[in-house]
Amino acid sequence: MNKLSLKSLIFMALCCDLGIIAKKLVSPVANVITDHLHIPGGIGTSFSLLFLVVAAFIVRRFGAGILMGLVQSGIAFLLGSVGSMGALAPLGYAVPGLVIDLCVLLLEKTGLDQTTRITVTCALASVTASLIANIIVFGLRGAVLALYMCVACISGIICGLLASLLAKYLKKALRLEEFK
Amino acid sequence: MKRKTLIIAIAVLIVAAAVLAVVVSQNTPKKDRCEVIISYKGEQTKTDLNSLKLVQVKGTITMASGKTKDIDSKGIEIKDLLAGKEYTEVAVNAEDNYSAVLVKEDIEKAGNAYIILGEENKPRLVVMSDTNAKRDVKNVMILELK
Repeated sequence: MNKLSLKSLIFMALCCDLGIIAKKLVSPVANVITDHLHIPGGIGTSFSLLFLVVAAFIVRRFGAGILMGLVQSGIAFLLGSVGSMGALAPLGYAVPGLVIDLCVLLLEKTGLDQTTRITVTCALASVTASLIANIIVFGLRGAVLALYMCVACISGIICGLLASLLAKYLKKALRLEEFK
Repeated sequence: MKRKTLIIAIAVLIVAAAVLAVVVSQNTPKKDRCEVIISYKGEQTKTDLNSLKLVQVKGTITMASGKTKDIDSKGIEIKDLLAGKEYTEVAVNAEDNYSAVLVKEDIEKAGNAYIILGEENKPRLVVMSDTNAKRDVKNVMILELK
């Protein structure tokens, strides 16, 4: 991995923080929805991943996603908000980070437009995070698992669209040349 | 990928989620049950308080510290819950094994001993005549008739 500039590292750290804060802010409303659907989550995490996806698409370095995932898990540990995953929380954050990295790398060659790439990345990362949480903690099966994945995917797509908007504004505001 | 494809994908996912939500809600046991077990003559019967005719229980109980606490919840008098059964005393046991004993006089006294719907719809014993709330048993699990 090429060396990341200080500017990129600061931006990534900021996005990690914003992701955690966004998740905390959205959680009360998200919990009302997921409680009614009898599923353990799937919405809040998408908002957390939104900022990681934005940062990964702006920084464009393989490994940035995993790095941010690990930093987010560290912050979550410090804030005591690792939830039910406990000590395995870094896995729950790092694997979606890896998916983000792979998507940034692979989708670039597909010729898809920026909005679609970001949306697909966010949806896949969100579904991955939910799958990891299910494997580590919940152990859901059948219709409940399918519903959990559907909700994660929908919230991932919505967050992806928000992420693409945010990325465009940031590109203009910060004059980021790396962002195409 | 065109915007139309994205909208179709979201619509399909929403429809799938709606169908799954209906399936899941039909297969999920309802949380609004508030059950107590009545142990009588060696037999244990589960009773859902919500299936009984409940009354509004209002009153004030005095805690051990001397402070008072207002009660305003739906519940049933224990004498009505145990109507037709013979007993001299009833041991009320909680999930955490905390236990309180009610003698027949406590139960037969009108407006005195109730099982109410407590926090999170869990059954709770309230004895209005108690001055130290010692028999304020939360998460009641079993009423053992002796």
